[in-house]
Amino acid sequence: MKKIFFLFLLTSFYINAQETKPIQKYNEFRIDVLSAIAYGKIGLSYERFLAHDFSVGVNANFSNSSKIEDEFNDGFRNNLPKYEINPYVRYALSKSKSRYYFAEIFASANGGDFKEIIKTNDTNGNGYYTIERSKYSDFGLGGSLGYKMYFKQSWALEFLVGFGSNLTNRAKSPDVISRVGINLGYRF
Amino acid sequence: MKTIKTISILILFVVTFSSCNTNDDDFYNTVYISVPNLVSIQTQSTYNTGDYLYINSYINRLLVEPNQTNLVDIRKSTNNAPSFTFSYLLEKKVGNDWVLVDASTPNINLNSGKFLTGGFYNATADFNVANDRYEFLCGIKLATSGQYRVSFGYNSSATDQVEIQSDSKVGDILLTINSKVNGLDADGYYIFTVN
Repeated sequence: MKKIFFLFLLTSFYINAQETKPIQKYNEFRIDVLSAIAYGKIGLSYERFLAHDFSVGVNANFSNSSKIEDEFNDGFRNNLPKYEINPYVRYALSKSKSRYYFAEIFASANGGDFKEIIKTNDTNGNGYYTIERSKYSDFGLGGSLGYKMYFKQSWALEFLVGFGSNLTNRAKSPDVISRVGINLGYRF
Repeated sequence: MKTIKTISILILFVVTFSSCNTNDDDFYNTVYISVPNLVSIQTQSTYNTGDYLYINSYINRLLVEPNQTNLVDIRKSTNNAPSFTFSYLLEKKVGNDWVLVDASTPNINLNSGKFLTGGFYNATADFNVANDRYEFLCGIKLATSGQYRVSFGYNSSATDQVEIQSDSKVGDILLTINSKVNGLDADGYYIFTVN
């Protein structure tokens, strides 16, 4: 019984040692499976791991959702986000290197289509209302919290929830920007 | 097992947040304008049993919009909406209650447009190409003597106005015209007596 107990302790120490030991791989690519399945959005991320629990990265999203486009066309939304480029800085909140919580701040350069109703005149000088489409682009800032777990030190599963606000063109762009995803990644 | 449980909880958590809509809630294809007197009660000085009370709506394609210098083309604005719809009520006083008058087929005289009855009347003014306007004219038989009242506030936000809405195709502009109706009292009723 004592032997088993000591073996268990040793194993625990070994696991803890494994978890707190830095993963000697500094680059990671990820793909957002949640957005791909739920919204037809392609979300790709790159992360570079730095010293002192910090990392930096960039995330790019390209949307081609027929559901959101239908909502846009049918008048249930006045903007149709098409792309987001989100550079971010992260800080790992947990000591473990294989499973940890993290916080991040991110910036967002985003854009898409916008529509509004305008009144204009026809050739006879009569007024009429029409839907005018244009493009928008905006810049926003936000923050996220997430949880990341590694399998075999290379395969990453990441959960991320974050929100931010567009800042420069809110008349056309969405007021709120979100960074919510379930990412699968590979660290090398 | 613990890992699976953790992953399941996190998936649930993230999926819950992913359904948060960042769109600013609204309907963006609607235009509201105000043009008075597009719906009229064809009043008579006296009413007798068997008379019909007629409501008409003649909505020109080109309307004068208050405080605007030029006419507004409602047909072009709605991408040739085939009709405009509004609702109203004709009620008869029975005891202390007001009861909707039966406006089923034998009791109406529909001259133009469409008419539906249910909990209220739904009137549809169809576009008449020859007259270049939307037209509705329907009479409801006043079968018995007593006190009656007409109102337009059932689907309207104001008692003295009727809300006329274009029957636009999905994706086209939905034009809502708030139109003041003449002859209504302060509570939004035209009250009359049938002898």
